[in-house]
Amino acid sequence: MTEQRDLFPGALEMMILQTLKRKQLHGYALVQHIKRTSDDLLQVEEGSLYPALQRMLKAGLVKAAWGVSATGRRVRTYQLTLEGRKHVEREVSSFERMLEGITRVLAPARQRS
Amino acid sequence: MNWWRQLFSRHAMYSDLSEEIREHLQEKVEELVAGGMSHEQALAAARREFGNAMLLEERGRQMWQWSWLENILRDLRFACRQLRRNPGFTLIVVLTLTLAIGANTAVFSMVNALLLRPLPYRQPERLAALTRHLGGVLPGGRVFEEADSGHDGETWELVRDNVPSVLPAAYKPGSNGINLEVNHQVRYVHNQRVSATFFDVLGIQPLLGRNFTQEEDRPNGPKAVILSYAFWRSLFAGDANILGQAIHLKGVPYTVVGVMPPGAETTAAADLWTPIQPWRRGEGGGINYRIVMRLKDDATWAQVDSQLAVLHPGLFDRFRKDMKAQLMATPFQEALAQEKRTPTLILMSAVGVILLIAAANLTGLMLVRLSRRKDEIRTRLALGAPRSAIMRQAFMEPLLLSLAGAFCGLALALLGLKSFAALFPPDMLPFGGISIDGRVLTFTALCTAGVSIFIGMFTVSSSGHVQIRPTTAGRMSGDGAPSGRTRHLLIGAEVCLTLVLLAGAGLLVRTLVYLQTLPPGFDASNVLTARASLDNPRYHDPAAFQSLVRESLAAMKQIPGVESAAVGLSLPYEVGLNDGVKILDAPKGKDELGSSTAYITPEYFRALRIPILAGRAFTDDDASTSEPVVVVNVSFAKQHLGTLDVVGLHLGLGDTICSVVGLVGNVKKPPGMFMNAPLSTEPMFYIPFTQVDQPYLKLVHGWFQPSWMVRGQGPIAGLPEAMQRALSKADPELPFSSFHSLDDLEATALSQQRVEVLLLTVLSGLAFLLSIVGVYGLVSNMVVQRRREIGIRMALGCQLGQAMTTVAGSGLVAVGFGLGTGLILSAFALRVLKSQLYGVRNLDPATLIGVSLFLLSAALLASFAPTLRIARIDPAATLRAE
Repeated sequence: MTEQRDLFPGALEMMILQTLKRKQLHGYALVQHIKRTSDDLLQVEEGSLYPALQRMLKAGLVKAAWGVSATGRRVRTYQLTLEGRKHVEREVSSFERMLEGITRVLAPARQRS
Repeated sequence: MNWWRQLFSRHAMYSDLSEEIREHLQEKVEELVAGGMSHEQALAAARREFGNAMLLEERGRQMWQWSWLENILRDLRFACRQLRRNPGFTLIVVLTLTLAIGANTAVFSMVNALLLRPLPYRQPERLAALTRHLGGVLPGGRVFEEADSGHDGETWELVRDNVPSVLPAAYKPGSNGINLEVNHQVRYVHNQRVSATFFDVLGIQPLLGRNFTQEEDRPNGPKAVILSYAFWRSLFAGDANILGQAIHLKGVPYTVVGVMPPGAETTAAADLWTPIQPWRRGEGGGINYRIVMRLKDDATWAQVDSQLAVLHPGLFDRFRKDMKAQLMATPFQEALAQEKRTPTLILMSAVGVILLIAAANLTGLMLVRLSRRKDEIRTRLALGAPRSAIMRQAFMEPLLLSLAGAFCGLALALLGLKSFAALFPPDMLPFGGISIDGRVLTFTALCTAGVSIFIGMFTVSSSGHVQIRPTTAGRMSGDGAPSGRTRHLLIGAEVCLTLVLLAGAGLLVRTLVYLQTLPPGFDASNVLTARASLDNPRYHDPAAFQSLVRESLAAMKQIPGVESAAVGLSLPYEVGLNDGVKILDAPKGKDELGSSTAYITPEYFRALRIPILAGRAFTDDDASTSEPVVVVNVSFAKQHLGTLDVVGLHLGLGDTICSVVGLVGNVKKPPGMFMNAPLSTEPMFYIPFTQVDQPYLKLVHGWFQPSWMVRGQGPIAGLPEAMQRALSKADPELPFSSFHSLDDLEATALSQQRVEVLLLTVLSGLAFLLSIVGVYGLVSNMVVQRRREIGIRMALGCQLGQAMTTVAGSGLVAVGFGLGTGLILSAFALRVLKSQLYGVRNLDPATLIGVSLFLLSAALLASFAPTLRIARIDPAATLRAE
């Protein structure tokens, strides 16, 4: 099965978790938030959010409940669980280490060019 | 959330997901409309930004699934639906596979019983048969090799006394019929003769009583008998008090010393066992014993081989001076299977080929189906179905069909195994019978897996070639160029294998025809024969024997309508007695040799209408006191005497010198000395029944049941009863064991050839049918696929005949390819039949050309028949469609 990958495996999930860390959101709001925050630099297919959310639901990182939004719309809101919170901290710190590594490798190349 | 709750709450999850996605799109649309877009534009934009909603929703669901399992289940359901929709196709495929897999299972159960299943004895790997390997160079320079399991008394004593690493036992391989008297009633029972150690060697302990003692196994030792469990239960109602009592066998009391446990099997179907009492004289003077050995605990087979290597029994040094004989230990199972091995493996190869042909044929059918589903596959690809899912489905259908075929085939084999076994003469069936055990089931499973992988390989790769957007060229040629070529190859392979099977069947048919049309040398019409056992001390006395024969024959000649009556030790079509004979004065010189022989009464030749070519038949004047005489047949005269002018020559039988008084025609008989054909014109000499002595009678009646024969002027009603009454006049306690016409005996002698012909003909017929259907299917699919192209061609002026030839030609190319490779393959494959053929060579040009032409003409018909539909193609309609 061909998997449509985002930036790198797990990036979308990490962004979702990080966003949910601040406040609970429903799917549409989540996507809009990620797009907005990244200044539309990340071209995320909106729908690709849902398989990721389903996986995290199954893994128990998030939980979902139907409710009514501020605009009076029936929405399914996602909230981070305790385990999700731990998970995102672990992931983010390891991601930052990786990013730092990549930056160091790329930096001299950029100076030379 | 645990998996159990997940399993049941999944539907709720799925509807949550769909609703969520719907809400998402709606929210987006509303937002875009609020931003000033029209509703339609907003809807399109929302969908574009969202991506493939169906696919994403499915992927979302997959997060909850054991996806591989559920995918397979879904594909399975889909395949089931597809198959239900085409019941005709499904039925044909399952039926073909049922036959092919059923036949393979049944035949493999035979191979299993013969070669793989361990013998039902303790530590069967420690059992071996003693075999003698003869090797040498024949006068023509041909290398001769032969292995034999028969041994004489001298060999038995040598092995018993000089091979300390084994425990040996002598036995007779089959059972013979003898009379048992219980409460003044005579019963005909089957007795196997075995030596004292026989059951110890096999590792069978008696249920009651004991095995034979060494004392009982000496010549003229005490008479003892061991009963089989079934016989003990049926005849003595399981009475344990029978032990130690005497029962009357062959007119003499035998003490019952033991009862075997239920299910104990020896090499023969026997009701009871008596000691074989091996010795060097009498039957021990010929190769009449089999020897089985059990390796002792601390010994190795290498030790046995070195102990055997120094033994040199003298018998063959005397008779075959040009040969070297060597004794060897052969694994018992292998030795028991010896003669059945080749025919069984030939049969296994034939059914294996059938399975291959069936698989090739079904592959062709599946490819056609797949090519008709191309549009559906394209649609699904366009909707985002991954190619792997398409391929998985292409595999699921063959798998499902093979499984269905395997189950039906297994059921067929289970139900039909008894009738299948009944086709074979008993001596061709493996020891212990055939059954379906774990090994056979594994084989069936492997066959099924093999077939589904074989077919799946083609369907999967063909489904992988489907392109979303068909090319124009593709449309013209039916878009199936790769699968089209594959189908041609498959059909070619089918034709190739069919040719080999047909040629094999043809050769076996010609063998049977040859054997059946050999001149019998006598007139079988209106002759009824009956056997009786004279293995009874009363008839060891020549005078008593002669008066029994005279009185019973006199009574039989009184039966109205009877023309002549006679007695002989053996009949045409029956194996004769082999005896040594010395040629004393003949143009070919003095010699000592073995030959088939029989004692007969004076009317024997008249009753069977065997022509007397020179001299005379025996008369009532040839008595025990008159000059010893013999009559020889033409083969004997030619091969052993070197002249047909035989009257007046002399033969030595033991110490007696006999004059040859007559020459008679040959009759068809199974060979006694050397296995060169199931029936041939054996050299033979006859002696009068009055000139045999007591040891001779005792010996030959232990092996043979003489036959009474009666020739009527026409069919006589109630003849068997009348014959029995006539015999009872001479001896009220002597029953006939069985009645036969001579045609029955011929059928028995050729039963192996008959069943081989039957099976191979049926199998090659099946192969033929499959191939022809395959060719027909190939060409008729071609007509459908190339309809448009043909229409255009005809519109451009192509003639009907030319169009038909073009299309049929592609089928014929495949057939021609198949025939060519089939002929080459036959040259190699038919060699395995060599040992089964008589009167025809394994590369018989007439047979090969015959079956090739037959196959070719059938393929021509099958190729041109579907092209008749071309005539109905309307060029104008085709052009309009363009």
